[in-house]
Amino acid sequence: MTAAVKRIAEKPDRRSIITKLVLVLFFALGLVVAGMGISGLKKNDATGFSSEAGYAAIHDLSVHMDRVWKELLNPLLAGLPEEERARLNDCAHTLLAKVWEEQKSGSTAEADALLNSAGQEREKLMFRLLYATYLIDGPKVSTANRKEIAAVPENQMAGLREKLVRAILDESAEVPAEVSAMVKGSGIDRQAGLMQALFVTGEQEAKAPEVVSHFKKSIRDKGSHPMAFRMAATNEVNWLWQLVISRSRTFILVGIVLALDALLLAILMMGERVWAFDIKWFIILLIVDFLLLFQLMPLVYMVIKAFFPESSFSLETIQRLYTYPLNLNALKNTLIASFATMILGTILAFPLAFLVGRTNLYGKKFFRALFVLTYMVPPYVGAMAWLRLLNPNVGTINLWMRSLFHLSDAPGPLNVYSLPGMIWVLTSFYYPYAFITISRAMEKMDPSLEEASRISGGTPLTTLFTITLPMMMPSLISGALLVFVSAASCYGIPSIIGSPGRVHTVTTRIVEYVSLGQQGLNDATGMAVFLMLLAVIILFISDVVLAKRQYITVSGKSVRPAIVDLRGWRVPLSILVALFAVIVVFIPFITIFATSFKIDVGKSMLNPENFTLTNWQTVFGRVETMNCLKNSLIYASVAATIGIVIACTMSYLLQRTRIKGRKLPDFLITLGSGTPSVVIALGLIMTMKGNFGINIYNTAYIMIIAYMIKYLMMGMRTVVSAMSQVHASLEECSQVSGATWLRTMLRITGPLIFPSIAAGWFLIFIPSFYELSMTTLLYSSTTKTIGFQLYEYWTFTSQPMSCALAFGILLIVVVLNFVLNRLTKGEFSI
Amino acid sequence: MGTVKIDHISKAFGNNVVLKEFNEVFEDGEFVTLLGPSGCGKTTMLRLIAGFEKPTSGELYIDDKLVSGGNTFLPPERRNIGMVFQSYAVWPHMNVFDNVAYPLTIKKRARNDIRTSVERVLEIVHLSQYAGRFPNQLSGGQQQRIALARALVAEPKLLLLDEPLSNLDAKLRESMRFEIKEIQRKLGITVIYVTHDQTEAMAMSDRIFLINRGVVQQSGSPEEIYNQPANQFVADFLGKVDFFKGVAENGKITFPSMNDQTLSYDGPHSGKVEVAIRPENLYFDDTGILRGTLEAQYYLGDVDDCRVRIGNELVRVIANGFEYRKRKNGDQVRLSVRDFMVFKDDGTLQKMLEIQT
Repeated sequence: MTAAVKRIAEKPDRRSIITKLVLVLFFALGLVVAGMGISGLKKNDATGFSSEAGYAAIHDLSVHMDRVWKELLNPLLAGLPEEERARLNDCAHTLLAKVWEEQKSGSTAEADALLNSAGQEREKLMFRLLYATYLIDGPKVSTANRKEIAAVPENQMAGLREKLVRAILDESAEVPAEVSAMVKGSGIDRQAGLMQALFVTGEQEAKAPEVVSHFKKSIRDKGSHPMAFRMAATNEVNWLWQLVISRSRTFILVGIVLALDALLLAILMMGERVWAFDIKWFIILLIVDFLLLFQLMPLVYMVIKAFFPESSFSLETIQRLYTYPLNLNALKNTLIASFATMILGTILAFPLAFLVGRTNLYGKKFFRALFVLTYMVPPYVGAMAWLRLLNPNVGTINLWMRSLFHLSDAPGPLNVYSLPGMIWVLTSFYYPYAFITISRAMEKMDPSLEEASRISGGTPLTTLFTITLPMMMPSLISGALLVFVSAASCYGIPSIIGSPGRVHTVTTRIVEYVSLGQQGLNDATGMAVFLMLLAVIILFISDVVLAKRQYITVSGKSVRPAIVDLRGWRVPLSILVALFAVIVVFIPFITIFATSFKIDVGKSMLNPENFTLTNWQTVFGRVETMNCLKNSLIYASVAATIGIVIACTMSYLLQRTRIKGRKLPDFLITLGSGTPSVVIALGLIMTMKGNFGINIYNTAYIMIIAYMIKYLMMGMRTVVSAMSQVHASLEECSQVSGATWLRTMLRITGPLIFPSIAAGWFLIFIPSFYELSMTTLLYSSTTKTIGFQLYEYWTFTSQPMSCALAFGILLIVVVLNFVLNRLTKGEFSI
Repeated sequence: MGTVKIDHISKAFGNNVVLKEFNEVFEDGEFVTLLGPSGCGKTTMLRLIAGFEKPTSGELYIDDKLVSGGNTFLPPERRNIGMVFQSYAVWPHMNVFDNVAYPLTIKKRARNDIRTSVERVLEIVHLSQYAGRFPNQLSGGQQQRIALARALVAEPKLLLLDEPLSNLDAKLRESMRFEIKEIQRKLGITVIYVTHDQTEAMAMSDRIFLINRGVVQQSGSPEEIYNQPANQFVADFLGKVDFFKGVAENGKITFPSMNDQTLSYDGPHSGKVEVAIRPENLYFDDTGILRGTLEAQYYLGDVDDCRVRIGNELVRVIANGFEYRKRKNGDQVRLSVRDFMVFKDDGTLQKMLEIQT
């Protein structure tokens, strides 16, 4: 018994020591890796190569050279008689001196000094140097010539080489026909050509050009070529060094992350007072690392860049940017438009939410679905529709008003290319954000709170103002703030409506700056910091301040809200809501649909001369459209799938564990979704092009990561709320019945929350599918998406065609919504 | 005055009839309880009186004034009623004082009057020191008292209570029960109380209306409906009871399922009957007429809860706790019956019981 007690007492002790040891080891490993990276960076600074990748190129070259030396030159030289070998050596020496002088690669003296120090290895070194110089800097050997030599059958190659050596040593010997194109002139020029041809016979056909291009791309500065050649010729750069130096920034990054993780783990364990590894912590760390690297680092870097443009503190960039009238104007426009949209949107959303959720309005279920559906429509599609309707010259509504009121043919009376125009379109696409927030809160409110007011003597109107409205206030404000942030960070609508009317906003200015190159990037940062600050402040207000005043909590009982009888107002109010729906939802969609069949956008679709199907045929017949569609589907699926896995993991951590540190990734995910799209994209551009050890610029990865950062929270919230509904006892019961944890997840929890998982997947997928703001900044020629394609069609090609594409996108979204509805048995649709 | 006259009121939601022909008068100062299983229509009746629902047919009078019926409908705010909701429904954005003062504020009373009234009513519910607090700083029981104070502050003649104690823990529930009763007695108001808890109903009410599936099964004082239940449902819903099928003839009832043992009976029923026996009305008696075997004993301290096998029936007997050691399982025992209830066995009531359970 004493032994058992002792073991119990000892075991955690020993384990905690091992754990601590492992942590220290990991921390040290991190420091070592980072240290290697730093020394690699320093070494590179000392050699002065323009890019760290130079070492990889040198290593590449020396490996290539080793092969040529071993398979061709060494056997060849060894097979020559002593005297001929000496003459060939002399010849190589002369050639080396000549080519170095010619190419300004270095001086003869330099070459001699190098060769003399080599001693016994002189010959090897000399040939290797000559080979490297010819390959990289020497007269270019054309692909055709290479091909001709490569075409020589294997059994005749030895003969060819012998003939070449002969020709080098003997001026009068005949130049073989296969290489005659390469050999020009006489004497030393002829020898140079022949030597090069000899080198080529030892190469694999495709390898050499690859080595050359790698080298030239990595070491741009010609002055550092001799050093590079020497390093390659003497095999100075081994595989480890080239790895460390060429990836020094990655090493530093990985090292820092490793050390940071070890530190974080130590802090977590200290907090829990349990010194043991828990798999959950590794999962948290994995998610946190991902978010730190791709979300926080870019944001922090941008702030630093904005205030420390030249590595010292300066407000110069900021000052210059915001004294420039165009930018100041953009700033003003953004603030005015967002504020107006917030006010207008909330004023629209509250009564709509009330009428639809709490009264006996006709068709309220239909209206509710309709207003929520608008949420899923890409905003730029709405912008396109309103542009068609309110264009001052040919806008449908303008034409109609002119004929109705017998106005002159002058443009107007309404002009969408203006700040009010933009505000209107923003409102019509962002009011659903407030609508959804408010109606959710309204449906959760305990109806007896209002009944208590009625029985206390309050009329329905008094009740509305003294009870309902104050109780709704937190949701109302957070809905309004959501509209504000969304409008401020919107790019699609201002770019389509604002730009032609010269109504600039911060987002459009940022995108313009980014297209201006390096200086532009710095300036864009200055603008983005403003947008980011705005978002962070509002996020803080709505999450921290309002959360404390949140009255509405989900009660266990299902609440059936009391329905207010509208009586005499029922018909007029129903008509009013229907009218609103027609104006805000139906007319824009019909306009898009109609325009897609038009030849002349100014005339009616019903006019047979103006009706055509070619727009649809052209757009959907093009390979490029299909490629973009494919890209969009792939990127959005990948983002949604990885996103939902993270979401499920996070939900489990948040709902089922008390583990410390689980709030950290949650906070980062919330921050990510609150960050304006343009800012996320800009941050990624500035930090993901290799300068911090990760180079995914111009790839699909950068876009997928951007989508995930922006939309992860939507998926996560859905799964979290579903999991909070599944009482832990259901899982415990399954485990008590003998099921393993995994089986419990698969058989009990999984099926119960499956509808929400599916919904979460779609909530990430759909906005990623038609994303525009981030894509505009991150796309490359091979990674264009359907949203960007639509934007290009609209801006550069033709409006009817873009309308066809837009309607196609809408159809896909509607079909996906239908699938979601079916998949979740009607529980979810967006 | 505080009378409520319910004149043939029916209520249906769509095709679902929840109240059938409710016809009753609640007198001034009476404590009336609407008792029944969940979904029986009792809350609907309360909401009809409050004015949150309109009756499908019938008329409702409060103090002899027509409030619902025909084309007349007085909205809740004009009925001058106090009401306490199951979820308390205290407003989280107002402090205790403002919550309680609300009915008077609506009536635009003078500020001093309001202060006096609120202080008085807070005194009654023992919340005087919490006037400045917000509801989320108070316990469930205290929130309950806020709701009560708010319902009482405007001095209504009629107070409606909708399962007000169901969200409280057992101890608190018991003490609140007596407090509410005490307040009602002090103020002399009419109270209509809705609950599914028979103990609450028995402890507080002057009259209990036992409702099932929208129909009043029986009304009367607690003692009346406990001892003289109108039908099997009432007998079953209040207290513990066992039913046995038997045949009544020649001054006795024969139980085929109990090896044809008999009980003497001179009541009005004959032929097939159902006999309801409360376990506390059976007792062990060496000269008893029912013979059986003791099969199980559950010692509960104050009582000894026994099962006696008689033929095919397992009969429950509640004996005194101190008798526990006198008997052991397997003993042959004899039982006497203090009292039993006899109902005609017409099959329909049996069906009703099945639905209820």
